[in-house]
Amino acid sequence: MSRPRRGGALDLALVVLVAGVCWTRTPIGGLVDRAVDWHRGVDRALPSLTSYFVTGPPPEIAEIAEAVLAEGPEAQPLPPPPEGAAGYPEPWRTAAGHALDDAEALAALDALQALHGAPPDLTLEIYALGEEQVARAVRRARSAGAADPEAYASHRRYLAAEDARRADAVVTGTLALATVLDLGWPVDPAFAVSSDYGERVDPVSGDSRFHNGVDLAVPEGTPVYAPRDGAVSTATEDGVSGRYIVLDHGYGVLTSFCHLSAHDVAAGDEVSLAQTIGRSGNTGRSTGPHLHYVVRIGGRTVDPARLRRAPES
Amino acid sequence: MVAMAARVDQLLAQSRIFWRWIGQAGVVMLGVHLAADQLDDLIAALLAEAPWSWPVADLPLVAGAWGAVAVELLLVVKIADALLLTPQEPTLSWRGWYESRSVDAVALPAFWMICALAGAWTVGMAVEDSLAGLHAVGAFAAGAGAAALAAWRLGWTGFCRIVAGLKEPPSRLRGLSWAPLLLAVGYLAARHGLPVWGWL
Repeated sequence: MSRPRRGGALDLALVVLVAGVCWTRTPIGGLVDRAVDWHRGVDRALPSLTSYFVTGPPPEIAEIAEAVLAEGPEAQPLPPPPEGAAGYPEPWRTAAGHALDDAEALAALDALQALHGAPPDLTLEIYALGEEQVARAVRRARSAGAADPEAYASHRRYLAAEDARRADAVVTGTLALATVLDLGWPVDPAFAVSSDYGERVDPVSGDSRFHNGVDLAVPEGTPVYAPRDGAVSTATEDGVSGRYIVLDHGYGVLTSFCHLSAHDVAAGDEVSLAQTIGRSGNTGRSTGPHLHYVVRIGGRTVDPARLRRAPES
Repeated sequence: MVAMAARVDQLLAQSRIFWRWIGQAGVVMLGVHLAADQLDDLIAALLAEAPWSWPVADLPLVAGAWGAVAVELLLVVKIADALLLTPQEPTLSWRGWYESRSVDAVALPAFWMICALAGAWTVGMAVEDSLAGLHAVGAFAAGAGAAALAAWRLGWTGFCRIVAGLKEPPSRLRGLSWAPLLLAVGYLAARHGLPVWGWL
């Protein structure tokens, strides 16, 4: 067979281009990065291979949440919205202020929302990436037949991997904080916290262990309320947590309620704020009637007591 | 100067049997990635519907993402296998394909063609993204041009290579184990990785 005599430079340019795009946009590139680092003996933090697929808050969001909660949700003064702007519903504004740590950012967000009337996720994405880039991703999602091209989750895959990660940090990070700060309290606020979040002596084993939530001293049969709208991701029982429920409030925020005597909801149910989801009890590894309440953000626990609102609020 | 450029071009053309397969595989992998980006959601939704409760609430999401990574890496093996075991500059022939007909001879080319087109679109998107700061309309045109070139010079030549490289199989069922995965990923690439559905 005769050898081709032309087009070599064009083909080589295309091969380099395709290899570069594979490197920056696919997990194959993530593996190549790891291999190169390993070969050079470099140890640097690289994005997880799953970050090319999953939309979720950045790993450091729990630390940011801790910082926000330590100061208190109302600690940071917020600029008023520009005249004519609808502004942001609390606590998203507060969360954005803390997460972005930038007063100008809040003003920019307000202006964006006033300009576009866009939902919070799209407004934040425009803030993070710029209007043109978001418009390109939406156009691509629309031409690919995506069901809801303007939704961040729909058009995220048409962004470059690096941009998608940057947008995740702002969009899901901020909304995760907003969601956490909007949590209510799962029982009547008159009931006291009997065991705090953090290191403690385990009442069963006597060893020092990390307590990943708070214990609320409630008698058996006390109604347990959903602290925010969400979906029931788990409603089951085991030997440690007894009967327990996990609610998914979106943006990586989960709440868990353990040692219940009864479930009033099942996995897959949608719940709304203050809906009764179960009754407290003394099931599982428990030394007396109480509710073990856990709040997770981005896979890490935070101290639920910091979210407790004053009874009059 | 022109003569020297032509000579370099000729030398590169003669050596491309050593490196063009990287681009041919890469353009298909980019299409596979677009499909896998939908696959993780499907796996997560399927697992979330399971009749039992998961010990960790976001396990379906994590499993979906790792499932998509696994599929992507698995298909690298299949693509490399299909490319590297075939002639470098083959000639397509309907008779040759018919004589080598098998499950693999249908599923692999269908998967390849769709994923290469989706991958070429990804190349176009990347070019547009990188040039958009200079001139939005020009970047769109450059992206479309890059996508067309990638589809033709890498996608099509890779397709010819794997089709012409099919050998008469010991059984017509050869490739049956790979076919469900290839066709599922091909379907997802067609459904979510081609910029045509908005116009239809």
